[in-house]
Amino acid sequence: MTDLFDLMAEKSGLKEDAKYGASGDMKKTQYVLELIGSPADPDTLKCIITSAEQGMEMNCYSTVTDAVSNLDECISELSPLSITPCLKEADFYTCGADAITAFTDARGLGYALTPRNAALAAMQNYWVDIAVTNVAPHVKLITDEVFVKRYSDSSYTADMQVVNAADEDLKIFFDALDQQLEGNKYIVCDKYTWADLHWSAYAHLCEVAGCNSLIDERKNVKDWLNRIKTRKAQCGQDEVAFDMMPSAEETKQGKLRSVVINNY
Amino acid sequence: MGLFSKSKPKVSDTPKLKCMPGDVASYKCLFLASYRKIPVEIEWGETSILDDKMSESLNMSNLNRYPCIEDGDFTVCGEHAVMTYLNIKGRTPTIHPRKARVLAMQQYWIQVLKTKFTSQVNEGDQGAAALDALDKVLTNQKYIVGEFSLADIHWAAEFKVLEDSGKASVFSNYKNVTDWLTRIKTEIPDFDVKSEKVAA
Repeated sequence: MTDLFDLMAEKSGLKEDAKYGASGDMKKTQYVLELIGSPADPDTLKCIITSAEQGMEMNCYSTVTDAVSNLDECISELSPLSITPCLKEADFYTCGADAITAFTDARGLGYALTPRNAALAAMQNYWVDIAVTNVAPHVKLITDEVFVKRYSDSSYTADMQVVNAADEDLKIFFDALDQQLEGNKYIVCDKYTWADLHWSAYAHLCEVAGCNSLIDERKNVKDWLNRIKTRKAQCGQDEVAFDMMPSAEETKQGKLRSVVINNY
Repeated sequence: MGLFSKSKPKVSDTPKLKCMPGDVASYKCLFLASYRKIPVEIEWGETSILDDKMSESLNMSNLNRYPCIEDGDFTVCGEHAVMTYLNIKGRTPTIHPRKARVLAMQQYWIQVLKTKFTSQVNEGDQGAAALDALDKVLTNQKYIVGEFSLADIHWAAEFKVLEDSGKASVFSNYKNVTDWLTRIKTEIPDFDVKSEKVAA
């Protein structure tokens, strides 16, 4: 079986970086992770943020700009149940954001993101649940219109009725988030948790898709996102995890940024 | 009056788990409490959205999250939150694989259940692709990821509800799956519970 990661590394120009450590010149103990995903996919963004938060370098290959000719077939070989994004670390492969983020969190350099206190951890996952179950479907409608359909047809124009309806449906959830953030630095307490990581991926996609009023019109949400955009990574290195997010223009072009840690 | 003689008003310190009959998420939480020997009072009933006080207080109506857990003045609803709470509470070890790769596999199989089995069975498909894959990994393993994990609890609850609703034929032809389920039934003390209390 041809390794899809190798093919996409070559296509992305990161082939040599993917061999990092092979000659024993590693600047740290772990291998560089490799990820296959899409900039319009919140699950891909969650994997990238986790990697940056935990100080794990990650070469990211986009299914849009780094696609190989038989991509769907190759992904089926890699992930028989077609769960994406996909991750490779040395001889280990796994797929799906839940698996990848858990793996990266456990392998990384920083503290685990889940609070030790049972009530706070439960609150964290209550908010993760709202994001994944209730917010994600509406964000998907927006990103499909604004980005995904354009990836396969560059002349496609977003159906603004769909976008505006999804934007409207998202308001109650962002209102609830705004209420929750009243007096809180982060969503469940004064520490950054998985809840912030999940919500920031959706908030970022809303912003780059032009639905930024969902954030800008809610003071607590806006302040929280600004805090996320400038906070240093969990791992203690001098990196801002959110800087690894693809910009609006990169998302439109289907490009992903790799996670590079400079200050070991 | 002595320093320590003032007694506090007596309140039940057993968390209350509000479950809905036939609800897979309720069984997942119940099985986890049972396996970890966390004492919980089970309340069976049609849950009202009013139980989800947090969503209501945040004006997110009709989310219908269940089950709910009430522990003193703390209440939270929804499978993900309640399972997290039940996996940290108590003195028995949490179910959390220590190896990153095993942890990733646990999360992978939970995602497979949610996205490739549950939703497809609900839509009339039998989720055969997911069952084929599950049966294959259980060929040489006692548990889904090798050691007992939350993945076993998630899948066991799903099969329990299918069995109870007369749909065991969905998975009964998968030998490794049925062997595994027979084993799991003996390891989760309250697999067949429908009583008031478990795992005291």
